[in-house]
Amino acid sequence: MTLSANPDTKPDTPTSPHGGNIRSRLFPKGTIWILLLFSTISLCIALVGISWRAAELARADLQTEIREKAGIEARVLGEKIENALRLGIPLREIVGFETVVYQLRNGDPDLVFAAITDKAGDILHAGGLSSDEIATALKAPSGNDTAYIVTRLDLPRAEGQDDIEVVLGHARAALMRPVTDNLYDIAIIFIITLALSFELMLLVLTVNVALPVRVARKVLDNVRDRKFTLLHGQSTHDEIGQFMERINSLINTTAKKVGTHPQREREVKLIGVRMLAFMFVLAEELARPIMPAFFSQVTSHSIDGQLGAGVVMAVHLLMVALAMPICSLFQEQVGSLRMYLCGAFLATLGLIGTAFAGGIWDLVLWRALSGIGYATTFVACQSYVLDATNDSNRTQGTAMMVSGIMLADICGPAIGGIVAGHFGPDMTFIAGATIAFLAVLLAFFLMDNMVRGKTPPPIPTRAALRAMLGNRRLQVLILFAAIPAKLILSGFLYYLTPMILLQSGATTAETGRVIMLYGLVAILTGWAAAKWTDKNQNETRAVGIGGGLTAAGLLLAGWLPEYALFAVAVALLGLAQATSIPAQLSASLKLSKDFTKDHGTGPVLAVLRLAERLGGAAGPLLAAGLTLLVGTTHAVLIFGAFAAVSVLCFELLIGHVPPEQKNEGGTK
Amino acid sequence: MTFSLLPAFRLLGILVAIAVSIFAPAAYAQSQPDPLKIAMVLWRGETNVEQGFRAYFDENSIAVDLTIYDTARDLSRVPAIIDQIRKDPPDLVYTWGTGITSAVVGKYDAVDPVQNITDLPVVYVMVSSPWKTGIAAPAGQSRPNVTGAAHIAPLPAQINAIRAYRPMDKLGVVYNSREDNSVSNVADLTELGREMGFEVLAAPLGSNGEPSQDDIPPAVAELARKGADILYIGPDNFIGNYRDTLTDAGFANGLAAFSATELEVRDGHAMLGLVSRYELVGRLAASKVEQILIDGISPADIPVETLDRFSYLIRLSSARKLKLYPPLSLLDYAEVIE
Repeated sequence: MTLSANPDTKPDTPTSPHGGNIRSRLFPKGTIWILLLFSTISLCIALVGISWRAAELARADLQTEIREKAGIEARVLGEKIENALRLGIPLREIVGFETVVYQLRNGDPDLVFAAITDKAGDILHAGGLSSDEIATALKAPSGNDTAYIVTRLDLPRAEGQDDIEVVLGHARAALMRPVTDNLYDIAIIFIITLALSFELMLLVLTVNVALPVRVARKVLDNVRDRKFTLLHGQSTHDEIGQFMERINSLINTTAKKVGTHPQREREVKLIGVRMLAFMFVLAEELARPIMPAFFSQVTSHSIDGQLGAGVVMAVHLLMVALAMPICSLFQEQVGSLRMYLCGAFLATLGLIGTAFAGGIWDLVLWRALSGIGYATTFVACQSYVLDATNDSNRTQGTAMMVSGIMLADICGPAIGGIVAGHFGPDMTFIAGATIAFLAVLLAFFLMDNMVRGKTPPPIPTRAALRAMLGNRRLQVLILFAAIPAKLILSGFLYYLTPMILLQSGATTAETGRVIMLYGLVAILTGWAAAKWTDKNQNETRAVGIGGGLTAAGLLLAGWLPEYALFAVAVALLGLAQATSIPAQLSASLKLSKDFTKDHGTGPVLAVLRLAERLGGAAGPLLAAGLTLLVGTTHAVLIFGAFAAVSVLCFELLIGHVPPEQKNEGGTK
Repeated sequence: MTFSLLPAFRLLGILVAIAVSIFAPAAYAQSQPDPLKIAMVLWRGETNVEQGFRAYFDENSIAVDLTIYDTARDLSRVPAIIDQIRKDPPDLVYTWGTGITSAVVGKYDAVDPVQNITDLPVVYVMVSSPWKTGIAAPAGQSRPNVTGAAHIAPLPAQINAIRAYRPMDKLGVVYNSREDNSVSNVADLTELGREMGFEVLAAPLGSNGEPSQDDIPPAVAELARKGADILYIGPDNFIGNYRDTLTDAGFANGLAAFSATELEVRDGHAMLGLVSRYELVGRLAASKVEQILIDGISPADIPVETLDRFSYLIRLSSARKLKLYPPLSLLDYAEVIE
């Protein structure tokens, strides 16, 4: 969150690739920190308080439940003992008590020990813990602070024989188990709540305070200079708006006297694009954790479910890849707002259709529609940012949009996992569709239809294009870094990870949490990684490191496919992509500097994006094919091996960036 | 055309009516069929197997006429019994045990039409290893007139049953080396021991002529000395005859006995067993007889089968003698006999 730059609020702040003024650009100044700290602490206190209260309320119910369960278990044990005694087996000669307790513990992990004691309290038979340990536990004073909840059941015996007792000990920690089980969900909801609050606050403050104040300052500066040529045009109906309306009327009066014709001054609400980018990605990412399983289920009537899921996901990504360049061609004519509206509408349709899909063909159709919608909204947001910014704040504008997307990447799967767990996969897609539809409505308010024009990019000649595509080092970058990176991202993170985790018994919420780790790590480490890359001016090295980290994570997950190691692998992938992806962008521009100095960066980026998207489309297909052939775990290993081979080829073939290129890159 | 055919149909109807009136009593008589005539060649008189066999026919209202031929544990009587059967041929021959069945039907690849019954269907019971002993044809082949019901639980299941009661690393087996099925059973156990991690301590009897009852106690004592954890009673007619001698020798040496057959636990003193209930084996055999004689299915098309469920028997008096009480978890499903 804190990485998000806000060009609306500080357009003139100088930037430095080495981070000189970056701190002042990135972090707000003054009392806002105190407010942020105060609101964060308040939220923390509220959530902790609610959780604690919920735990306290649940404790009584859970204690009753555990006591009932313990009662049943004690009766089961008691009946077995009575049966043995009825058969004439002497009490002390009873065999296999430990095994029976072990079997009981298999069905009830909260049960720690069980014992048979005589009236004197001597332990005759023990299971779960040793006799001495049980004796110590039973001697502890009763109360709520002991480690075990002890349950006793009397077993009266025939006359002349001492009565005996079945004693069971359950872990008192079990009382908090439902709360601790939900603790992750609470933590995620906390992070997401903070993130969403931040987004909303940013939007509201920028639109209602920062922009009107900035325009007011311009207008008042204009008045101070006795020009009377500007009117406040940033329409708000609050105190600022009313105040500036009065100033406007004064300017109008004065302008008439001096004979000038003042124009209304307003600024583009660039901040809105952040929310819109956030929403269109969130709509798609909500169902991310359940996609493979849901697609498998829907397509299983027609073809093998796993292959079906791969095909559907590949079609979606392919449509994104194809739609993006096509949308870019028409963006000029259509305009960002209309394009965004079309895209969000298509995404809404696609997501609703997906929720109700009955077979492979309509599912492919709906997902293709979603893909086109996603690509269209993406291009609309990107072009809006490019149109609404100038050279001085373009990087910040792009970073702002990207941070909205990353935030949705983090929140989407986590929220989606929880939604899917409670309401099912179809409702998750419908929730996505609802968000996409809300984006349609919000786009009218958040996206200005008219933005500043910009200089059209120079049209590259065919020879220049050919030369660019023939650049061997660019080819190496695309073939062994850009394509593998996205192929692994979509194949491993979006296909294999949810598939394996769900198959191994993880809940959708747990799966969502693991996928969320990717975005979280990427957003937390992205800035440091980019700073490191900028500082060293060695983008190809960063790309190599990213590839190496990816390979290490995947090989680890494939070697030991456990939940925790998958989380580590996904986190490593997040770090790897945060290191590699921005570096790939810079490296591609550096490697094509002969082309970009004459024809701009557009075509290079278009080629890079297309290659990435094609890699992304191939990922799920490859993952599905490998799953069918060798199983999911081996598929992860093969992906790891592929990553290792790719990074090896990249390192061997890319060569070192000549010093002069480094320097040029450093000043870019 | 229709007009010209009408008298012909009328004539046909009259003929049918006459035929029905003539043959109806005979047809009615045939609906009350003669009882199924079954010759039963038994090892030691009727057992629970035969009770189950009879009960099956009673419950299904199938009339049977059973002729009992008891060999009284003497296989030399079988040829005479076969001669008697040939004089008054039944619909089917029922044989009990490996020895009798082998004598009545021969091995699948060495049938002698003079000594063996080849022209009557034969259903056998209580043959522990029909394939190993050659009574049943190997997989893919069949015998034209022979099928049957086996009664022994698979060996791995037997070993698991022993180990469910108590740990077992050394299995002591006293057996008659002159009985094919015992020899093959011990060979199978030895091979299984390599897979399941136990050693078979074999004590073969009868290597120098017919074994005697007196050979059993020293053999058991020798097994105890070698460290046997438990005695194994397999499908062995000799040991079956002197089962109490074996179990008493076991008690004297602190060794419990496991049996693969029911009687050694139910009527003897073996401490535990994983067995097919004899009555159910008899019912299974009866169902095969029904298939052959009523449904008209050839014995060659009826598979040799064993029951798919077995009973875990525990004789508590033996456990008490040895102070080897059954584990609690076994009491949930074992049949405990006092």
